[in-house]
Amino acid sequence: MFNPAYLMYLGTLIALFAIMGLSFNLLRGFTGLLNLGHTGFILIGAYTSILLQRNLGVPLILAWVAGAIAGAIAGIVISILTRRGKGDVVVGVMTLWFMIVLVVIALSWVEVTRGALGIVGIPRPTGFESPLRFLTFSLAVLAVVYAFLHRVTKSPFGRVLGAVRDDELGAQTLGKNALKARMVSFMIGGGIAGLSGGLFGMFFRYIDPSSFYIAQIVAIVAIAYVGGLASLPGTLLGTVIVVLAPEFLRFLPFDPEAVGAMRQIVFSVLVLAVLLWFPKGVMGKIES
Amino acid sequence: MSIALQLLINILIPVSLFSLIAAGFSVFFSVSRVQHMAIGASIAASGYGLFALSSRIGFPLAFIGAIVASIVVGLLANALVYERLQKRRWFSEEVMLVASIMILLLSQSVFLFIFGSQPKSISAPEWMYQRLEFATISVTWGEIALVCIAFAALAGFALYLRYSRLGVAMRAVADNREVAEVIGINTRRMRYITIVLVSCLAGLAGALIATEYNLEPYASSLQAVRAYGRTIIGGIGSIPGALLASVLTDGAENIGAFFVSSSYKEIFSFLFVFVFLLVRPWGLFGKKRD
Repeated sequence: MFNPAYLMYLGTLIALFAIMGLSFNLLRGFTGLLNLGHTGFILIGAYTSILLQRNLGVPLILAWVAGAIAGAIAGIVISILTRRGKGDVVVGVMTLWFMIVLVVIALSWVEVTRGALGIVGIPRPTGFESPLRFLTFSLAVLAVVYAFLHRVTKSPFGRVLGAVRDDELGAQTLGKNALKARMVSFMIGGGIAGLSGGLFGMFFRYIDPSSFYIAQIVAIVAIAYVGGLASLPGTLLGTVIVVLAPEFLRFLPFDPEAVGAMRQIVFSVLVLAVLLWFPKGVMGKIES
Repeated sequence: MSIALQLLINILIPVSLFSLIAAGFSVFFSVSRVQHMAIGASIAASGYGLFALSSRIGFPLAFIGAIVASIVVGLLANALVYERLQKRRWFSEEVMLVASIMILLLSQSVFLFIFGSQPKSISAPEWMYQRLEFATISVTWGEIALVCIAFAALAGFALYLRYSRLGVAMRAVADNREVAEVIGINTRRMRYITIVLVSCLAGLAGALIATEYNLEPYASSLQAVRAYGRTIIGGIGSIPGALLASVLTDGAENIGAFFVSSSYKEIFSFLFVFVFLLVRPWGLFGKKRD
């Protein structure tokens, strides 16, 4: 059970999902934007990164950063498209549909994305291919992202985000540009998500459209809600809980195929429990 | 000409089934302000119920059992989750949406766990498979029955909503919940009645879908998403809207598949919904909400 390769796999998975969770929490916990289509940004980052490398020969790191930039641009676009609603469900619905459109495009635009077959053989940065090295790489990325978000959320701008989340009209009355705040938030959240997308591809060495669909957003939602909205350390804790909890199921005498389904059951039950009884999750600063 | 007729028949089947689901989603949304993504759970319960029961108690009884299963799922979703959340301090439409999606995924995973990931097929009574060929089109008796039943249910639902006392009450609640309470309508009871009605329709559709197509574990999320999309296009609370939206999207999909490669057809219907969300989120027949 404590096989080092397995532990490193779990560690890297936690690092990866922590980055995804942190970017989602920036949007939902800190700015009040329910980005149900967060996996869409991740998808953009993942596909941009590998396609630039493969079709245009762009060096890995550059392509990876380009994926992050693509995610940031998508974030800005979404922020403009959703400028009317906020605590309204409108943001949730529109981002959900945005993600669905992206997944369908990825499935259908077969010449470019290879559709449902996915893209195989995604490389890792040179010198970081081994599980241990890649784990270190991922943790380093996580540390940088975390430090960055910490600075952002503790800054005056971070307080503006909180104000926009809690009372957008009030914030505007006090002269805060809510639209700009949301735009920047979506840009940062989308950018980090795009970054995590490239990392996702590097980790699994394979991507396909179904990896970015509704079931995956559930895991991210679970991380943010269980760990606690508006709490960065909470997100880390949430990631650990959400990633590790289903792993215990591996050791029960279930058919391996069933483990995937059991994992989904665990996530959905966790989120429902949070919504019904634990609105702050473990370390949240605000309620659901 | 014969191709056009065949195409028409091919479109009628999905339109009849999906507009039934969309209509249910739409009406429940208007009455309770809940986006009932978990309607996919009802559909799955119905399909898998039919599958599990039809070999044991015969098709007709299994069909009824499937609808019952669907109603049970809807009632549980409402009683255990939606109604409870309504009372919470942190209640919001967004919380309801997330909760409903979680219920949908929970049910999808549970059925995946119980029945496995292989598609299942259900054997219907023999007579349903007999082909009828006339005027150069080919259709089975089962498909004719399906379309007739589905449209009859849709029409019945629409008439009920329009003319029955409960239907009027439902529309009153949809229009303005507070005023409805003030004039004595028990909105909680209305929500329960609506979920039963909607789940019944979803169950009917689910059983028919399971019979006509194969039963696939991941189909429930797609159904829910589709129902939502048609509600957006058609307008919340509008049954004719749901029907028209289905006609437009399924029609476009099937006609498009005929002319361009079928892999692109899906994009159009989803983009269609997205465009509506941007420019006319209250749909074709819905009301502007402030």
